[in-house]
Amino acid sequence: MRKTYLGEFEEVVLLLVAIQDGEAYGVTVSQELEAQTGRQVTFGAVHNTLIRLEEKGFVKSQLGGTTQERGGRRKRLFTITAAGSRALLEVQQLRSQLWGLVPPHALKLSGL
Amino acid sequence: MSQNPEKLQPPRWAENMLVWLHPSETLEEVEGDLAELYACWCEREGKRRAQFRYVLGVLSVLPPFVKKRAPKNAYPNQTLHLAMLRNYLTIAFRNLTRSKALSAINILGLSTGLACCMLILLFTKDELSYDRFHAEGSRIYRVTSTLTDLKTNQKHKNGFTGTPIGPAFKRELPEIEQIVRYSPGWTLVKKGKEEINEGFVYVDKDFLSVFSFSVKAGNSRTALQGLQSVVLTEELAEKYFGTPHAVGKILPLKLNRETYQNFTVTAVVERPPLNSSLKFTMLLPFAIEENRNTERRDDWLTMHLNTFALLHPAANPAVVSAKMTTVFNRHAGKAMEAQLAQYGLKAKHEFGLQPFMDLHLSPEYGMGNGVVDGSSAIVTYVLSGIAAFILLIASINFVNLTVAQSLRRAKEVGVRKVVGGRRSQLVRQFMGEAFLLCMISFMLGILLANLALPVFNTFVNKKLSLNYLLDGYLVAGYLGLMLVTTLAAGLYPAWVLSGFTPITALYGKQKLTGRHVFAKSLVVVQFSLATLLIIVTLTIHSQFYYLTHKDLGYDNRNLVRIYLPRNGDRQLQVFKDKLSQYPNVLQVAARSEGIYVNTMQAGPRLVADTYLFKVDENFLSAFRIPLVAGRNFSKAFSADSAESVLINETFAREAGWKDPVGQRVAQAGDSLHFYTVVGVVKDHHFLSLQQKIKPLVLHQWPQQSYGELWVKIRPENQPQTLTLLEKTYRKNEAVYPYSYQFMDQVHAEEYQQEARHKQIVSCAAGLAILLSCLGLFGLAALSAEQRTKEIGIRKILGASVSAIILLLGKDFARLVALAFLLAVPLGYKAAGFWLEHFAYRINLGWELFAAAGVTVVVIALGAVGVKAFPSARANPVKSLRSE
Repeated sequence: MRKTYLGEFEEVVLLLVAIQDGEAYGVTVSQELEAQTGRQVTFGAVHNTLIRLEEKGFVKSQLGGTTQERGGRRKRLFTITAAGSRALLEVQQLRSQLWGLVPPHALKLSGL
Repeated sequence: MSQNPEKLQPPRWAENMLVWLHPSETLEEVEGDLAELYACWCEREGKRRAQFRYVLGVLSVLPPFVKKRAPKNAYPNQTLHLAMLRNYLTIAFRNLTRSKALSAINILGLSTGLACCMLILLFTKDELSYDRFHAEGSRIYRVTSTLTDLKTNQKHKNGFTGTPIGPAFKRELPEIEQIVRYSPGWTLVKKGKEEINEGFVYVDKDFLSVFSFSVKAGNSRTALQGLQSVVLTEELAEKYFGTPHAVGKILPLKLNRETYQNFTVTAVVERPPLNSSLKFTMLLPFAIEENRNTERRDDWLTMHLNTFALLHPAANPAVVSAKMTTVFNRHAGKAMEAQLAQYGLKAKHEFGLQPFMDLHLSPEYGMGNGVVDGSSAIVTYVLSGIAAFILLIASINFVNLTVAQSLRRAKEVGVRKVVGGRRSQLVRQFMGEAFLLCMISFMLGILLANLALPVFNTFVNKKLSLNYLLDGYLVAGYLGLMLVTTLAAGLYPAWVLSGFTPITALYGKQKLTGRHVFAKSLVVVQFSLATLLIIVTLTIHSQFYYLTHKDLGYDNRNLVRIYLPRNGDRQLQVFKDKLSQYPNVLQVAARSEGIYVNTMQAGPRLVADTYLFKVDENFLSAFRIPLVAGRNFSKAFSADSAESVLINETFAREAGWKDPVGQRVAQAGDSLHFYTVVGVVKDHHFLSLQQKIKPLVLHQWPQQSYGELWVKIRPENQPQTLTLLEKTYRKNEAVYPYSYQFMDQVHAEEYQQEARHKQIVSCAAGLAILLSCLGLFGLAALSAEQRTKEIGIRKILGASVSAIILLLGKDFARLVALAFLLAVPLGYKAAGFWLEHFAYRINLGWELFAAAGVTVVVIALGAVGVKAFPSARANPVKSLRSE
C-alpha cells in the first residue's frame, strides 16, 4: 500500500481535529488554529485540508443534526480515524527518533 | 447568537456568489461555517475587518481554489446484476402479455415498417448495383450526341451513334483504347426441322475483353474475330445442343431472308446478370453487319446503335468529348449542316461521353438499341420516401402507445424509485424494453419481407431475393435501422416514464397533463402523412381512369393487331382476302409498323414533329376515325399511292391552312416529291395521353411497307375468331411466328408505369392509414379506460350512448381534421407534380380532396368508435362499484 504523506499544515489540522474530540468542524478548527498557532489562514485552506484528510482516510465526517444556530444549516463534524491516529503517532515517533540523534551542541538556543 | 441580526448579516453579494459558485455538495456546511465565523469576527475584530475576512474566506472556497468533495455513493455502484436483469425481462414480458392488443399493434406496426424499409433498401441496393461488375467499368463510357437548337436553345439528347463514328474516333484519338459497337437484331435459327426466331447482338471483336462477362469456354480475345463465329450463353447452347459445352459446334442462322449459313460456336458465356444493362443470349461479330450493309457503313448521319468507348486511365472525358466533336466535324460536319438546313434547323451538334455505370439511373440519353432496363432515380427516391413515412408512422404508434400505457406502470416506477432505483437505471430499463420490442419486430419484419418479396418483385419488375441480404453493408444498414428505430421509439417514453415523481405515482395521481401536446402532435403528423398518401392515391386512380377511359377519337375495342412477316406486303392481299370472308371479321386494315417522325414542308411553312403512317383504304373505317373534309384513300383513284396523303386537324392548323384539301406537302429536304392533301381526319390520340396530339400524315407510299394487320372483329365468339385468325396466318406464313394483341391492351400497356405507380402508392397509402388507425385505436382504448369512471357517472346522470361516443371521438376528430388541413396543400403539390407529366390530365378539384378527407375521417372515427362503443355500452355499475 502506498504510504500516505502527511504535510505540515495537514498535521496541524489533524492534531486540532484530535484535540477537539468529536466537536471539530470548520469553525472550531479555524478558530483553534488561530488561537493556538497565531496563524491567520483563509477558511478555504482549512476546508480543503479537511477534505483532503478525509480522502486520505485520516478523518471521517458526518453531517450534524439541524440546529437553530447558523440559520438551521447543518455542520459537518470531523473525527479522527485509526489511520489518522497512527499517522500522527508515526510522525511523533519519527520526530523523537530524530531528536535523539541530534548532537546536544548542535542546538544552541541561546546563540552562545 | 443574540446579537442584532442586522449586524450579523454578511455582505449579501458575497453570500450570493458563494451560493452560485460553490460546489453544491458542500454548500450547506460551508455557508454555515462562514456565517458563524463572520459573527465571531464581528465581535472580536469589528465589522469592517469581519467583512474583509468574510469576502476573503468566500473567495478561498470558490473554484478554482476549492477542493471538491468526491461524491459518495449511498449504494455500491450498480452494474447489471443478473437478478436485476432477470427482473427486467420478467417485467417486460409481463407487460407485453398484459395488454396483448396494444403489444400486437406495436410489434406488427413496427415490423411492417421495418419490412418496408428492408425491401426498399434491397431495391435501392439492386438499382445502385447495376453494371458495377465490369472490371474496367469506371473507364467505359457510352458515346452520346447532343443537338442544341440555336434558335430555341432546346437540347435533343441521344445515346446513339452511327456505324463509322466509333472506329474513326478510335483511329484518331489515342485516349480511346477500345471501341465496341452494340446493335441488336433478329435471326432465324434452324434446330432440326424447326425454325426459331432468336434475338442476337452484333458486337465488335473486343466486346468480351472490354466488358467482364464471364466466359465459360472459348477464347474471349479471338471469339468474335471470324466472320462465321457466334457466341452463345449457356442457356442458349443448352437449348440448341443439349449441353453447355458447345464450342466448335455448328449453328445454322438465317440473318437475311434468303439463305441459311453455318456459324461456328467459338465461345460460351454465362448469362448476363440481372443487374446488367446489356442483356443478350447470342453475340455475332459486327464485321458481318458492316460487310452486309455497306450503305450504313459509310453513313455518318444515321444514329442507330450504341457505341461504348474504353478510355485510357489518364484520359479526361471532357477533353475527349471535345476532340470527338472535332473529329466528327472534320468528316461529316458539312453533311450534317446541310441535312439540318433541309429541316430549317440551325443547330450545334456535339458528342459526349456518358459513364457506363450511370446508364441505368440516368434516363436523359435514353435506352434502346439493346440497352435495357432503364430506370430513374426518382422511383428510388419515391420508394425511399414512402418507406420512411411508414417507419415514421409505426414509430409514432410505438411512442404514443408506450407513453399512454405508462400510466399503468406509474406505480412500478414509483416503487423502483422508492427502493433506490436511479433515473438512469429506469431509462436503461425502458430503453431495454424498447430494444426487446424492436428485436421481436425486426425478426418478424424479416419474415414479412420474405413473404412480401414475390409481390414486391412484381411491383418493381425485378427478381430480387433475400440472398441479397447477406452483404456486409446491407446487414450493417439493417442493424443501423434497428438501432435508430429503438432510439427514436424508445427514448421519449423512457424519458417521460423515468421522470415520474414517486409520491404522485404511488398515490395513483400521476397524470400525463402537458405531455398530451406532444402525443397529439405526433398523431397529427401521422394522419397528415396518411392523408397525403391518400390524396396522391386518389389522384393517381382518377388520372388512370381518365387515361384508360377517355374518348380517344377512335374506337379501340375489338381491334386485333397481327404482325405481318418482314417484307410481307406480298402476303398482305392474301390475308386480307381470306380474313374478310369470315362472318365474324368486320374489317381488315393495314398500317406500317413502328413510329416514323419527320418535318414536313407545307407550303411555305415547316411542320416539325409530324408522325407518318402508311395505311390502307380500310384503316379509317376499321378505327372508326371520322373524316372532317375531303375523302379517304380509295382504290378508285389509282394515283393515290403515289400522290395523295391524309392529314389530321392539328397538321392543318400548324400549316395555317383554312382549306387544306388540295394543298401540297413534302418531306423536308425532299423537294422532288410533293403530295396532295385529299382529306382531313379528325384529331385523335394516336399517341399516349402523356403527349399532346401531334401533326399526322397518313400516306400510301410504295417505298415503305406495311407491318401490321388490324382486324376489327365482332364482339361475339371472339375465341373462335382468334383461332381462325391464327390458323389462317399459319397456313400462309410458315416461318414467322404468329403474335396478336388487342388494341385496348396495347393502349393499356402504354400506361404500365402509371399502373405500377398506382399499385405502389395505393399499397403505401393503405398501410399508412392502417397503421395510423391502429395507433389511434390504441390511444382511444387507453383514453376510454382512463375515463371509465367519468363515463359511468355520465351514464348515471342520463347521458346516451351516442353522446358518450361523441365525447370520446371529439378529441380525435379534431386531431384528424387538423391533420387533413395540413395535408391538403402538401397533397395538392405532390399530386400536381405527378400530373405534370401528362398533356391530358384531370383537374384537381375540391371533390378529390373532399373524398380524401371523408375517407380519412370515416376510417379514423371508425377505429375510435370500435373502441368507444363497448365502453359507452358498459353497465355503469361495473365501473363505479369498485374504488
